[in-house]
Amino acid sequence: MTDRARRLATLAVLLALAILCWSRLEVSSSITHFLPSGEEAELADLARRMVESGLSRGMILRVRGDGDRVGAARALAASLAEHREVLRVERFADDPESAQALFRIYFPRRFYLAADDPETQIPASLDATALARRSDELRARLAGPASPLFARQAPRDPLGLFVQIMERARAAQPAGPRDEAIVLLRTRSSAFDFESQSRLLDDIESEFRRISQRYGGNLVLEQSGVNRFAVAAERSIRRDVNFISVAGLLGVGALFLAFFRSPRSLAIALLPPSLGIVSAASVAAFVYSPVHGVTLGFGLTLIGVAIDYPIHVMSHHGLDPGRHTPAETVERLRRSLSMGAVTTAIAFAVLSLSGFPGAAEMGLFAAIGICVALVVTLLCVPSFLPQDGRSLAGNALRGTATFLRRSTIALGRRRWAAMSVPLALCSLALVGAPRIEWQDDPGALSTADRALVDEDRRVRSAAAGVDLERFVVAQGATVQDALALNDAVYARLQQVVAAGAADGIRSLHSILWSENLQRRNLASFRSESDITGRIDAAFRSAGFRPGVFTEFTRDLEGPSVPPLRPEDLAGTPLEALVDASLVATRDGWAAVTFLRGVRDPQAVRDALGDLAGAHYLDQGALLREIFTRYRHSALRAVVAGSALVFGVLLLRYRRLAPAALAFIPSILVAFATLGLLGIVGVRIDLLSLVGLLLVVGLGADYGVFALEAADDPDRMASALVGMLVSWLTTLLAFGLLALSEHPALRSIGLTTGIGVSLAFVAAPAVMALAYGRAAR
Amino acid sequence: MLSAPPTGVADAAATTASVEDVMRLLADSGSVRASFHERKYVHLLTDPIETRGKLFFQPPDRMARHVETPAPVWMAIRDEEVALRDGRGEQRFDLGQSDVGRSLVDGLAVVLRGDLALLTARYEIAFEAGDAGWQIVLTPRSRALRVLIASMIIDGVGSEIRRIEVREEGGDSTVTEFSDIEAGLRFTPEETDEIFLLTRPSPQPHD
Repeated sequence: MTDRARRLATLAVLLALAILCWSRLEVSSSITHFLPSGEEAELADLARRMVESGLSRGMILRVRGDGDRVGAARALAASLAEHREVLRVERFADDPESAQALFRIYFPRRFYLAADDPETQIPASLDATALARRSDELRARLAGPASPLFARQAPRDPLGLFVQIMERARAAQPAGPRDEAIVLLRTRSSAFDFESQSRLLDDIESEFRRISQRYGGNLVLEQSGVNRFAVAAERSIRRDVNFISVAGLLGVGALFLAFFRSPRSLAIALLPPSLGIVSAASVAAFVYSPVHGVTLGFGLTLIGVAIDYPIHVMSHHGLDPGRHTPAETVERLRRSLSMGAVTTAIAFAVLSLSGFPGAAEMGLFAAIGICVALVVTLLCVPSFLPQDGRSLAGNALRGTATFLRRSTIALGRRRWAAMSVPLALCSLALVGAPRIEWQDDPGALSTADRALVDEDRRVRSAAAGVDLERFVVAQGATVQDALALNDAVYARLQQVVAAGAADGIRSLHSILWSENLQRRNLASFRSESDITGRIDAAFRSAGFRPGVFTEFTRDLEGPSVPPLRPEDLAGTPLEALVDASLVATRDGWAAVTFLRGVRDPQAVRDALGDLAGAHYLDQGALLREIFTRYRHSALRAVVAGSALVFGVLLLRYRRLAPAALAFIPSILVAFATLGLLGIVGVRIDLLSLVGLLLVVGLGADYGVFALEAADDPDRMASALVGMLVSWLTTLLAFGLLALSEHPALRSIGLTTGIGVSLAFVAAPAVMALAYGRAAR
Repeated sequence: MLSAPPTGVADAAATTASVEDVMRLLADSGSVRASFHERKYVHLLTDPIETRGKLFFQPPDRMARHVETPAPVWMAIRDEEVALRDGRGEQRFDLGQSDVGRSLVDGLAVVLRGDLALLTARYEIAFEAGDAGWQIVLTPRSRALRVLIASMIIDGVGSEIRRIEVREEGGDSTVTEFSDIEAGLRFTPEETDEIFLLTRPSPQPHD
């Protein structure tokens, strides 16, 4: 095959695979990809669905400061109600329309929603003592200023069933509506729809500035909503990525121009990682479809590793004095390249043993990508290179190579100086190890703005009255199954609150019961004999006229409306609670009860113990636990991967000393990076460990290249300059992420930047030590 | 009688030729304390409910009703909240945006503070004045409130409110008569807290 045909074939395959990925690849964002077991996966999936469904579309706006806060809030509510991105501004049960709507829904159903334990409580409520007490209560209400309301309802509801229902519903309403300076709204689009939410947030700000002027000028708007975090994170990432990608691209372009004299060389260098990524993505599309977004993101780190192979080829070919063709140069490097790629692929492949489906996916993705990149480097890259390598090398390449070779040879002659590098790395690891702090709070990766977090917490606690991260879920195959279990959960949680293990709950049960419980209520009333006579007898002593409550029994015995269902509450002020509390899961439905002031989580768990399908969920604790396990798993992967890499190196070199020398940059650098982060007080999170895997992979490459080139001064220069370009490329591509405002990007950037820099310092030392051994 | 500092009937009659005059006098009355005797005629009951107690008003929007007989029940309205304290403890409610609930509970407070604008917004107002005093008849404008309240008739002399009769649409009615009024009072902060239930202690209502 001619070089031209090979070039065309390479580009055609790249294009075809890219098209295949584009058409076939489905990307998922489900957190369950990264969970270790079924139950946790189910709970975390539920938590995610809650975040992505009802709750995430809610916003709370609170007006504070000097001036007419209530007036400003009302004006803002009225203005936002017209916004195209606002589905609705929540109305409250206190406004006349809402109150009438709730009356029409609940008053005819008052017999359905009377008692949690109808077979016991309803007969008890109709005995003489209870009725006498009730008659006194009604008389007291009739003596008050709201007597016209009670006088109208009493003939049809002498037991006060409707008032009880409304009191429960009122207790379930967020505290916010009681403060008229608070506006609750629901957005039309998801909180994660950047364009729409970004526009809405901007409009809220500008509208409030205008209104604030009118209502006093010293007013402050505080907001809470998932969309604020989503928009802030995306804005921060976009800003950082734009800056970093432009700076990185310019830097890498300038680097390649300086060392290889042409931007074309950068395009050639990008071929192996590009083909590696699209190949791995194509395999993943068939094996793992849908592929997780994190896997794809992780796959992009392959660029940092796989670009090394063509860089080494180009630096060796560029410094070749015209004796070898590109194919011959690659053949000379074949063993080093293969060794470097195999060790790196092993380091990543170990991830697949972690027990996390998502991590296994990432491990396979990286291993495939690196192997393909190696094959492309060996088979295709030579056809893109000029026959005479000298045209490829700039003065910078030659000058730097000569300098690095001389320095390394000089270092090799002073063994103690060369040894000082691994010793320094050891010291860093040992000194820093006790100071390492682990960061297992996923929240720390998602937002950098503490002010935003504090404001959100302040507004939510003022308005919602519950801790939105702690809840109990009652899962069932159908809505009614979930509601029935929720009825039982409510009873148990009442005991928990009574025992002081929690301050309170916000339950769907306050406004909606299962149909089964509702029908049991009606049946219990209907099974009681002579209710009118018993009420008349009891109420007469409180001064009520006999016979005025006949409408009550007529309603009870007459044709009734069907039991209350979730859809009946659509369009009412209670719809928001239904949306937030009744969530579709993968296998059915879940009714969610929010908790306030949980002091004893174990007491909550114990209370739910024998209720199958009921779980206490602390979203933050669950994610922290998962992240901790992930971190342990990733750390184990780093250690196991390193051990395997060492095993492969031992097989390759068949002696301990050279294997250990090649191994030094990968393992020592990994631990020295952790140590240095510990010393400077940077917390280690999951993404630090992902970055560390990249460092292990690159370190193994450096070690192998350093060792293999140590016995040939010409190759030594090429290998050293190749490593230098590789280090600078990685630093520009990933190290710049350390400047990011976003914690996740900063974490990867910092670890990768420090790690590859230490690896680059370690590699010449390895080479010098190996050179010294050879010279002796 | 519930009024500003007592004035002579003749003087008062001379200065209350219109509802604006009455409202102006009430607005100038400051904090007020008075005894009341109320009779509620409810069709569900064989006899009227009679209550006696004290009424307190502190402008602009605090009003308290301390029922002493038949059983102690204290109710206070302040800002957007109603507090109710009886032998079983204390409860608080929000008046919120309910026009009906608000009108039922704080209708008298609106009159006492002489808020003619709000009164006009809520009711059609008829006014008559004669030698014996004046009478204001309020008819609710809101259809929702009209379903419950047919009219509110307030009788007074000068700056004194002597009697209020609330006639309900269903035929029930409430008649409240005032006596022993003291106007232009200054409640101490402690008295204010206690009267208007601004603090929670005080396990039982007391005189």
